[in-house]
Amino acid sequence: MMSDVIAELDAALEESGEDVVLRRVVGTGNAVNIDVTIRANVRSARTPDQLAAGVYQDDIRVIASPTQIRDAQWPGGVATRPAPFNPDQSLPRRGDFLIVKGRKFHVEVVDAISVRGHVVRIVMTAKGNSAT
Amino acid sequence: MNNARSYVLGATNITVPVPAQALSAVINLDGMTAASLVAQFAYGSGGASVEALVQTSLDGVAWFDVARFDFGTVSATKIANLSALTPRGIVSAAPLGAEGVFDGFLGNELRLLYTVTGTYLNTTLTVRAAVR
Repeated sequence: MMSDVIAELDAALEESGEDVVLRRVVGTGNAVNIDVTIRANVRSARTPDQLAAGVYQDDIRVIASPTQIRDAQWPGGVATRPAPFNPDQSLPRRGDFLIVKGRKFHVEVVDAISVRGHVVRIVMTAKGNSAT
Repeated sequence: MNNARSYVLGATNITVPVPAQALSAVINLDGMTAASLVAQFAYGSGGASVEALVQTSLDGVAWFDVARFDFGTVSATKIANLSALTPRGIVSAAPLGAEGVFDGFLGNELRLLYTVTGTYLNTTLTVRAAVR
């Protein structure tokens, strides 16, 4: 069952994960932050297969569950577009931010893993070259 | 209610004129008896007027106005509180006038519908609802 897969991940993240903030910024001047706190497993992107071209030692690899995003209905109401160009706005995307232990990371790559058409796990690679 | 929390009904960059753009709804608000609304308008330059209409629905099909926030060319934060427990006699459903509220009626969904006249720059509109 798809719900069992998510429940298992939630249990694992509860035990071995940490709370991080997923942020989407709306607007340029007078920008607005839309935040949701998610439970995630955060590791350095340091294994040989993860240290591919363009991925550096201070980047992080984050495994998160869709549970908190779904519960918060993040990022809230959005304008829908006609199919087939109507991406799920609740999935993190390049340009979003992660705040981990008070440090901001830029989301670069998102892999939303689905089982039977439902997202059960979100894997993100984020760049940590920001001092803020 | 089961999902009491603060939700983002919409956070959008205000730029070109928009004729009544409805955003996707915040759903699964069964048991909602009250909603505290905050509409934040961060003004940059240009533009003429922005109308932010909060609507509720019992079925996701028919939508009814419950609060309307109006903005022009100055930053402002406006609030309203709605209670589903306020006695309400029989009235005809009607569009709200400027800065109007229709208290005593909340379904299980909320959404933001906004209208823009004039062309704005560096301007954002954010509407949040804390439901309980």
